[in-house]
Amino acid sequence: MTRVLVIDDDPGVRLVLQKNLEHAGFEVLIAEDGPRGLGAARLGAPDIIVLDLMMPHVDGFEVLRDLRLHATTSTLPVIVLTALTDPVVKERCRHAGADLVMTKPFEPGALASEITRILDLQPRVVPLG
Amino acid sequence: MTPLSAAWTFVTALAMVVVIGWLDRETGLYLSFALIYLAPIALVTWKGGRLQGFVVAGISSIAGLTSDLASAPASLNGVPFWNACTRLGVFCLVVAVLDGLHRSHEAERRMARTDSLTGAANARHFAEAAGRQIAGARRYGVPLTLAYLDLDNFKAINDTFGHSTGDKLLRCVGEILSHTIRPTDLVARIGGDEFVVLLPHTDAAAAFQAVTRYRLAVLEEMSAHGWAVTVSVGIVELGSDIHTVDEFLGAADSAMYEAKRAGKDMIATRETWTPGPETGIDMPPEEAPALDPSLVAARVDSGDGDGAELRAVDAFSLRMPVEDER
Repeated sequence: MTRVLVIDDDPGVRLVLQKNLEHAGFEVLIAEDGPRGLGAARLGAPDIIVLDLMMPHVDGFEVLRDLRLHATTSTLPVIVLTALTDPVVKERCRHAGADLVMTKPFEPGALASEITRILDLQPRVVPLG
Repeated sequence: MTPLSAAWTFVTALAMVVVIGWLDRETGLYLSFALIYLAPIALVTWKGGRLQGFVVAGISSIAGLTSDLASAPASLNGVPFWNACTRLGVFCLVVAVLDGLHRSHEAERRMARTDSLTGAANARHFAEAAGRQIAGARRYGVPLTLAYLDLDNFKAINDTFGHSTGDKLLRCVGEILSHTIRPTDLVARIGGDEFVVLLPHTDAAAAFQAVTRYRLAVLEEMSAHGWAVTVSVGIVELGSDIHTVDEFLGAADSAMYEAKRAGKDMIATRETWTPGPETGIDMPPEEAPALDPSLVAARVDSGDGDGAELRAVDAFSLRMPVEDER
């Protein structure tokens, strides 16, 4: 089962995303801030990360940079969620290594289908022999 | 309009047609009664609908024709028949126009009472109905209970999935409530994500059973859609400290707030308290009777069912909801 790590500081949004993704058939890990998110990314073995941009203390950009710096998480696909519509923000996210930037609000089914699409694009590790 | 009163209107109109027809016959050919016949026709159309209107229009035309024929000289040939047809046309036209007017009048009245998004009653209609029910409950000494339902986490749904999804969710909740409430209950939407249900002839304990059913139906539907929305409910029975609709709403709202404060996704009931014997003033919440140990807050977990969390809340008895029997 595909395991999705959701990093968001808003408990309501966390719950909404969790239910939404579980409803779509994913296993969901939850982290309530940047540092916890980084820990879960390294130890929880997620297949993909859904990351909120605007968080106190450690924001989404910093989490993204940290993820890319560490070997275990450097190639992990990341979807950034933001309510900001500024194209500059989008560009910055891409530059920092986001695979996709989704602007809130989006259709309830959109996140799940984007996750499936991005994971289908990832190179697969095929065991030898 | 009950079927019985519609039938009475029809019979009354027929009697009127007979009397008018008799007068028409007695007064001879030259005095026209066409306008007078419109009275019973208009009456049944407004009260009983188009079909009855057309029937009475037809009978009136026949009555007019027979009275014309009774006094018309043979030399007039087909003139009474032509006149009867003309009258029938005018009568039918009046029925059609009046019925159209009545329908749009009814539609407007319905719209003025309902919330356009969810189809539940609106705040104004609720206030009127609740005012009547409070007066009735006082007069006849029967219980009356109000349940205040607030959707938890609705804002996050709106922020994440947009207002169209939020509206869809509200419509869904309105529909479920309208279908699961008892026929005597009234459901109204009184704010963004706030619904109230008025339960006449129902005490807090019975209301708790009913509201548990409504709540579970909503939770089931929400989880079927993958929406992380739960319901916090405040239940208040009409007590001696409540006199107006606003006080009733306020008490139910604060009970709902207790449910929110105690962790959301649960039902809080406030037991009614009676005025203290010495002072005659209402007992403040702090001096309310001690909490029955069996009345505790309980979180009914809508998802995995393992998150039972117990808390007692001052001045409010939060009852252990019936365990999810799904």
